[in-house]
Amino acid sequence: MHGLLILLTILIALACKGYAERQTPAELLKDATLAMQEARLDEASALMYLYLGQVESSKAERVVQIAQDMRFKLATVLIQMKRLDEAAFLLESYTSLPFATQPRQALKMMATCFYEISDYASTVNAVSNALAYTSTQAVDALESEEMSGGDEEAPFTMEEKGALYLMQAEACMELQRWDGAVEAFEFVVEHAVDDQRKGYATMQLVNALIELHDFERITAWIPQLYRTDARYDIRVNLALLNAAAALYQAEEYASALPLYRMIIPKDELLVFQEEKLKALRIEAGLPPELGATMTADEMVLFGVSNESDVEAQVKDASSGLLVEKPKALVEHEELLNALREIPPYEIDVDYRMADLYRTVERYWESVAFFERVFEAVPESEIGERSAYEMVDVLLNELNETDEAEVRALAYMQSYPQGITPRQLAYMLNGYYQAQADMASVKELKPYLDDLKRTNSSIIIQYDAELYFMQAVADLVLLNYDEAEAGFKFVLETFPESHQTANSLYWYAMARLFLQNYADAWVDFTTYLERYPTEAYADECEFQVGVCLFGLERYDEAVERFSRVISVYRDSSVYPEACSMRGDIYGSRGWLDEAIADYERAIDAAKSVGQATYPTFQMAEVFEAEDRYDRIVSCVELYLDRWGADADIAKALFWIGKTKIQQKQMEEAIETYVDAIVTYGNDVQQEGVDLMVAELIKISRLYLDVEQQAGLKGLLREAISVAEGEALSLRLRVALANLEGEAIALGAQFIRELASFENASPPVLACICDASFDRNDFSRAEELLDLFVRQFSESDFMRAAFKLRTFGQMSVADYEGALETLEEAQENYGVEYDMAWTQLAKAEALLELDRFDEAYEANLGVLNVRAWRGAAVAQATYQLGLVEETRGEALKAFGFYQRTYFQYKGHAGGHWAAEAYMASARCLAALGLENDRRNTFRAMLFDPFVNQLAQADVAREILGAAEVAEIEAYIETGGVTNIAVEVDAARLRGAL
Amino acid sequence: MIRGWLIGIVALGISAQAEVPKGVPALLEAINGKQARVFLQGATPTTLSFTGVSSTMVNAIPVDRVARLVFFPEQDVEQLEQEVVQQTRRAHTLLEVLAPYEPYMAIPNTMQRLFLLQVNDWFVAGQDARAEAGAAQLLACTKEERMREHGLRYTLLLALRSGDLAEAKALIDGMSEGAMRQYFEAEITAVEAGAKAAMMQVTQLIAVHANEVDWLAPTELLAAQLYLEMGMTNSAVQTAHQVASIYQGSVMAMEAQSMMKQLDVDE
Repeated sequence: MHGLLILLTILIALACKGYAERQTPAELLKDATLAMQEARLDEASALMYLYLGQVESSKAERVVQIAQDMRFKLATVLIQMKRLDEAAFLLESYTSLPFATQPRQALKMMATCFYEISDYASTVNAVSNALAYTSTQAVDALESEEMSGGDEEAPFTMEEKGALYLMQAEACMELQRWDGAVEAFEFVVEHAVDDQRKGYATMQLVNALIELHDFERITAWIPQLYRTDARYDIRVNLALLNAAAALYQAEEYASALPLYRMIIPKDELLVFQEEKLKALRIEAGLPPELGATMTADEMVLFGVSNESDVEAQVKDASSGLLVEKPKALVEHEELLNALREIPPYEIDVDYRMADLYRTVERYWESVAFFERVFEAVPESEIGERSAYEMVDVLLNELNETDEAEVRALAYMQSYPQGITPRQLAYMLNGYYQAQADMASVKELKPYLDDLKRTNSSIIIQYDAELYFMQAVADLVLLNYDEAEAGFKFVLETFPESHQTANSLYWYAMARLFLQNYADAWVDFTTYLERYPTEAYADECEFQVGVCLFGLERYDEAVERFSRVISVYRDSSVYPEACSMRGDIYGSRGWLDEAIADYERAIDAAKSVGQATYPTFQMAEVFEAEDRYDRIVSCVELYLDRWGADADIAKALFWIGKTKIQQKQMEEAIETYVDAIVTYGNDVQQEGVDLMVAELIKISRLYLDVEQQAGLKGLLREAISVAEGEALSLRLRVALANLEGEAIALGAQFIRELASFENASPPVLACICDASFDRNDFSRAEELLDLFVRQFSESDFMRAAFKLRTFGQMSVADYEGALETLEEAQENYGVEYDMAWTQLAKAEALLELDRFDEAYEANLGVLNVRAWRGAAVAQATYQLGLVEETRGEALKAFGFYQRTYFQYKGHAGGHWAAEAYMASARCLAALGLENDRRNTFRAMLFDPFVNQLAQADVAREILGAAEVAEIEAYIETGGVTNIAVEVDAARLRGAL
Repeated sequence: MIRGWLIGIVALGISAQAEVPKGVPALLEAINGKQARVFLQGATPTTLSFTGVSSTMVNAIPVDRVARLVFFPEQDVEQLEQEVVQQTRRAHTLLEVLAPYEPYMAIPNTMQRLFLLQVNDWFVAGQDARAEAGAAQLLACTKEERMREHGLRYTLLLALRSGDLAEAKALIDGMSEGAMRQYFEAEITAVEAGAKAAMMQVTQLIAVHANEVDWLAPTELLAAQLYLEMGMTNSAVQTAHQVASIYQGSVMAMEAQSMMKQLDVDE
């Protein structure tokens, strides 16, 4: 470059040689000065060059001084002519030669020239030299009389220094010399008076620090930046976008946030800057709008009084007008264009801010910004993302479930297509499942059904998952029918999905829970065929065994359980299989084998649940064998292993039972009462209920009056200090049972208890019994539901079954009653106190005119040994009813007669009395009036029935005279031999 | 010679009789650009009393005609401010420094910022009576809008603290819509309807008025307090930390630092 300049100078000198030969330096000087004064800059510069060319070799002091002065002036002319590179070269010479009277200004001008021609390296050097220009040269100039050119040049003003530092800083930025830029900008920030400049410099400082990754220093500067108005500067705004993004990428979120916040929306910034542009154009003497002329008002407003003052020289590409634009104006227009070309960024900025707020745990702000984005562009990708994030923050960070639900559900309803509604449903599902809130999971179903299906694989995957979760929820809610249907839907609608195997397994399980053993067996087997190595293979093997058990194919079940025990030793199903096989062995009387299996189950148990069942099953077996020492050892082992997780109450129950067998009544009672008081406030503690029942049994069977009184005293005391309602209710039931006041207490509970929340099974049973006694079936269904949901294994549930059954019978819901009875019998079978189920079943069947079934049902009572007694009396009577109802009076008569002949000693003679009446009815139907009357007579002679209400009917029919005769006969000790015999032959004769 | 000596004697006599001027020394800058060194004697809401440097006659000037008072405390005011902001000095130690200047706080002056720090300290420390008096003086700064706004803020917060919702609402009655009003409404909502309802307003304010830096500061401080009320301590700490950082040197930053100190958190 410098070489070229020298060449140029020489060429000019040569070209003007002719002219030079004609003029002296003085003349040249004079002409040059005149040309400069008259603004003939081309001519002035040429003359100045000529002059310098002529005098450059002179050593005369005066000549050198003048030459220096000329160089300075030439430089200013060249600058005006925009020949900046020449000017810079010249100024360089000026400052390196003696007699430079304005070295600082020269250095400043040189720096400016270099900057304007984008020679940034030279700019940096020049500015450094300018700022460093001090003592040496100045002192030398002062001390040397030769060198002193008069007054010393004034040092730079603070404003000049600021401008120099700013130039240096910008140059360093261009050269990517970030450290240099930081230092220079720091000076500008510290000393700038103009707020805009200060803000701009701070912004650039931040940018330089970002490049240096010096985030610690950035943190110190951002607050200053944030509090300036620099944000309205386009350059700052554009820089903010980049700087904030860089800080975001570097995870400097706390610093990024205020920067993002400073970014002005594009439209707002455009409006602000377009107004500023107008002002700049007016200031430059141009019309405010491109291509427009100024109105008189605008001239007055902006202070331009004469339009002819506008300088016109450069063609403006946009308007076609010849205008001269100042650099600041050009710069501003370029910035505005750059701004216009940027795509809208506000949405992205808001999204970033939302994300940042979330990262710094300002969750409410995060929600507000995500909401802004979503509302602005709901159907865009960023809008969808925002909807998701907003719900996520509300749900998982703020625990604002209601707010999250409202938004998520509204979104799913309004935008049922695509992946986002599914992601929202999935999120809600996950939340509800973690809260074990399956009911809320189910509430999503209508929304799922309305989502638009597509063939997109990801959509299909989501749908399969969501419907699978629906079915799982049904399962957890014990809605087995719905669960079965749900899993089937998944299998049929999404075949070969990622949930197909699982769906098949749970489909089978749902059927198992519905006791549909045959179909479940098929499904489990199918799973094993298709997915032999999948997650549930071991479970399926086990469940196949359970199905076989349910189908009463016990040999096959044993075989299957044995296979599981052999193959899946480490699986969680191993202990379960051992327990199940143990149960089968136990039912066959192979007690040693059963115990061995239970012990295997206990040893392999991975959870307390897997240990509890076999432990207490074993205890039952030991009890059957009177091996109480083994009971104690297995229960103690169980407690040792499982500690606080164990079913302690049940364990204590067994320990107490052992003590009872050892006739240690007081110890047993103490164990039970202590355990009841300790654990009795937990309604789920089944062991406590067992102890209550056992206490009652002990009291009735083993305690004398004094001991019973002592036990009652203990219970009363415990009641008085009981802190929880559950415990208090339990103790009151126990006491009432001991005192024979259970029904009365039940009635009191019906009045007292607003809810059954703290009612344990014995308490509920007490309420059921009291309700039954009063024929109050209003809460029967509720009570049974409560048992089924919370205490499905409880022995006390039978009272609820009874209440519900008779409730249904009372409203002639015989089908419903039959269902309830079936369930009751499945639970309790032919236990001694369940005869009523079979009798009620027979009654219901009769009401439904299903005579054969009713007949068989009644016969079923007769076949159960445990039901001998009153139940057989009733069943026999009911057999008569069946025959009578279907018009077989003779057969009916036979059953009735048998009832009062064989079973008059049961149920206080009630059924015998009824049978007498029914017999008479049959005889009347058969037209055997005499026999009918004889039946009544026999009734009055029968001491088992003649005091019952039914006997009064007989008295009425026979008449007072005959009754008196019979009673007088009885009083004399007479007995009757009246027997009514009716057979088919006699009946034919009578008819 | 004798004349000169006589003049000297008279001068000596005069100087011996001259009294030291009483009052608070200050440079009074009037709105017409004129300045005068004065000794302030007192101020009412409308009038400022002073004597001249060499006169004991008390003059009065309408407060409206005073542009600013420049005080000359012995201490380095900037240094004191820095120490209070950096919490190396408790604001209550400023009592003595500020005492002479307190009567003039309603007039723009060079000790106002220090006075603001003092009022803030009273407010944070729960010295409500003093804070209320200080806030009233700030509120009376008709020529210093920012000081007035601070006064308004403290007055409202003190009213809310004492449970006087009616007074708080009356303070914003007639205020034009904007960030300031929305901020005050949020403070009132926090007391009236609870933290969550107030937080809704706060977040909207932050979203819509992001560039109203003056009112973002107390709004974000309020956000920190609301988070704390909602039991979200982490969020409160994060927000307070950002307030202390972004608004360094301001009274809001100091309040945020105070909050973090109470939560026993390192800044």
